[in-house]
Amino acid sequence: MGPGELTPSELRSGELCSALPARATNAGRAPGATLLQVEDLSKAFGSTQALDNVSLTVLGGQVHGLVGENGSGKSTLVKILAGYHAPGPGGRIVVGDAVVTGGLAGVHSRQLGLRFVHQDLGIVPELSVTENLFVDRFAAERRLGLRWQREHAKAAALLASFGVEVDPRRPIGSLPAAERAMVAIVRAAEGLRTAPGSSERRGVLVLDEATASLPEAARRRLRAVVDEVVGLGHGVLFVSHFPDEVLAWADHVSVLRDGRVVADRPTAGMTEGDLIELIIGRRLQDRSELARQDVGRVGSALAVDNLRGREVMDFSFAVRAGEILGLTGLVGSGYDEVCQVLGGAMPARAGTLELEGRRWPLQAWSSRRAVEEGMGFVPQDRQRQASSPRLTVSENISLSLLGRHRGPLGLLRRRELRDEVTNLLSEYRVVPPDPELPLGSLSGGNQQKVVIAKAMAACPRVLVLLEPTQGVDVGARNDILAKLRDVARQGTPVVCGSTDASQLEEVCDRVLVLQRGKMAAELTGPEVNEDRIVEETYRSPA
Amino acid sequence: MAAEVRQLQEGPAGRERAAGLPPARARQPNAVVGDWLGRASVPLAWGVLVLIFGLMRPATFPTVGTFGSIFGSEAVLVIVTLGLLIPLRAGDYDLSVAGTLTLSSMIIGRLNGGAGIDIWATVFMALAIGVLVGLANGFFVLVFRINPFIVTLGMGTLLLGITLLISNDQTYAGISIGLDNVVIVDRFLGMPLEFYYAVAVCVVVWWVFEHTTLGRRLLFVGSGREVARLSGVRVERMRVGSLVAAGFLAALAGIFFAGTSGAANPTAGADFLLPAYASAYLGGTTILPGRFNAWGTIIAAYFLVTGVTGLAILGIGSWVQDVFYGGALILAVAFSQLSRRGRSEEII
Repeated sequence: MGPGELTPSELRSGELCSALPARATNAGRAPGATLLQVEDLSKAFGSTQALDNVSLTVLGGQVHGLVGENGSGKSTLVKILAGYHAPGPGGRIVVGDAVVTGGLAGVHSRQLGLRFVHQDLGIVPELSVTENLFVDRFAAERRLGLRWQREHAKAAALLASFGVEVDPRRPIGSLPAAERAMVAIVRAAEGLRTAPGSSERRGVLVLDEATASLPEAARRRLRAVVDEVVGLGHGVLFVSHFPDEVLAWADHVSVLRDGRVVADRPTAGMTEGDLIELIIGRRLQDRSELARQDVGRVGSALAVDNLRGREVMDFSFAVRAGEILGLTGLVGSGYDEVCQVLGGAMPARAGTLELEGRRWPLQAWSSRRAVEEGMGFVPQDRQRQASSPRLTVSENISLSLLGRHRGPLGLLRRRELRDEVTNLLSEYRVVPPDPELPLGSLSGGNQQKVVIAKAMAACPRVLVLLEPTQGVDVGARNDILAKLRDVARQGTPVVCGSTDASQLEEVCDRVLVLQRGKMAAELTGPEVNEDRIVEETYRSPA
Repeated sequence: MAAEVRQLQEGPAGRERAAGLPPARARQPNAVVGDWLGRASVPLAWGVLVLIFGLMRPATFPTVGTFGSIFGSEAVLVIVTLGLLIPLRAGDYDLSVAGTLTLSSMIIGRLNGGAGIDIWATVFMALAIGVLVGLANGFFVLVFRINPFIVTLGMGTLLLGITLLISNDQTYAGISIGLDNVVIVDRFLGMPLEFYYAVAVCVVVWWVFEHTTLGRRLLFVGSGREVARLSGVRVERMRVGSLVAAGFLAALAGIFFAGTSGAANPTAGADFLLPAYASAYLGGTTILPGRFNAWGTIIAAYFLVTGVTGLAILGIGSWVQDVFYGGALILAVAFSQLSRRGRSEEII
């Protein structure tokens, strides 16, 4: 049984996502001493007030949630704690016994007992798991000749103590995303434990959107690590986009909106709706109010027969015009590979694709052909596959619009293009709506909106997306999902690969669950709900 | 304290968010001045340099002859650099341009000056060789998946060797006056025609980079190759095409090199490699800072040549040329890092 799977006893689906049992255990944690105290912290970037008199307190033995939309100031606060930004005048930070009024340089914050796991994990893909895990020690020790056998064994033992089974000799870049994240988290937790003088002192583990790109199973394993850290008396500052996750994990939560703390309360008794309302400052539309469209049987617009790839084994499915089909499964089930093959990002070994009556052998399918045949693809890897952060917002979007704004002799009609991009930015509510900023200067949620706008702007005949709302705040997520419904309503077939079951419930007409490269379940109508999706995802194959 | 429950009232910022979008990020006046200074840095430095040399040698430096020489003869450097710029935009190095330039000038020298073949036929052959070199580079880069840095490093040296072979290590003079005339002898507004060719190539490169769909695709091939591929761009074709364009322009520069001196030297062309890279990287810090751009490149090339020429007029030995170009390359890259506040991004 692989690391991403569960024993049958863990398979009672109701407990997998529901926040209730988790909160019951949280209530049992006794708060310890104050480990981190942020008092009246402010920070301005130019005319933008990123933080406005923010205070929060992290206690030992507790998980403190920090939530807010993209641009609410969460990242700024974390970057100040990490010493990346200096705080504005006034305010102070108390870490353990140390009172800091100026900036916390990176090394300084580590010595005081703060450790960070960011979304990008801070790993070197080419180096082995062991090297990544012990990078601090290797950097600090001056010794000739490392005994690699012993180091690998140590690494394996350490990882195993957190329930992570990977070969420490492998380059970390060759591991699945979930395993990479686990290693980074184990490294930070271990750093906290072995910080100088840590037998006396407790530290704070800051998880900065560390779960955003992880599938459900990995998040639960991460939680086991966190429980252990908290059990040792350390505190955890848990920065997350996911309200349900924060409620499940955290004892206490601070909500940031526009740089201010709008709520600072225990999570006990709080519902997901309450928290979302605090985050976005308005009520969310009730799910039952969202009209689920009635899809007529108008024949399939896209059909895949016997797709075989690296993980997928002879998988067939069809999507009708105007239907949103969800594909899901555990890591390694191949649900994501199906989307990658359709978008031309990965080659297939065998299979055929039928698109509006035309058939293609999948071995001959390429990204260029996909674009030519009107397939819009939103890949999962935003930094590498979906966009170029160094280029401007306008340039990024323009890549899918070049055909439309091409004049004689390949001339680019720049004015037309700029007008269209400006319209798209306001339609997709990208903030700030300035097409000439480098894409990388936008927050993650706004970058993702740009990526979606880029795919949609080409008016695709079929839309294929992988984790379209990853690393995105609640407001942006709703905007993106509403767009998907709009596109489907106009008759475009949509394939959405995701491990986010609540998102699939919200947006899909039908969900296919894959296990080990094969179809495990097809959920339609009222069966398309979070509990059923999760249940089928984790159900042992017969 | 954490235990106490606080619920702040929703402030004006919250209402703004509810009412619509926050205002676009306001740009600070300081940032605007800094931005402008960054763009104009090299042109300004050029002006300062001209002023200094003019004040120090008022009789010899600020003359039509000096400037005619700077703008005219160094058009070869400008054209080879503009050729180099194309693969750089696509994210690839081409270190073979100096070899292509030398071979091209020797084809003119050997076949026209030496064997007496019609000058325009040899010009055509030189350009064809440039295209073939680009195709050969592209072939090894794509078929064998070798880093273009290595392929073109080898190719450049190989071409210099071939040049020695066909020239038998001799300088060939006696190139048709027809070529000299259209390159350096005929003048317009006091400048040799060569200068206008260089400006014309610059306009074309700028136009393609900034105003065509081809230029946009090239930009993505250089700065997000996988993004380009998934968006349907024929990445491999673009890379080969950029190497071919570089080979073609290097060959063109070689033709002008032969026309400028009226002779072909089997080794002189190799000296263009470093000034070309210095110009490209220095050009990437100005006009459109952070990007390899045509106008920045032409200005940087003339800035560097002005510096070298001025120092020569001051009577400093020829060693200063290498020191100046080498130093400029390092400083240009260092400066571009500085302006990005140490973020490890390369020029695109």
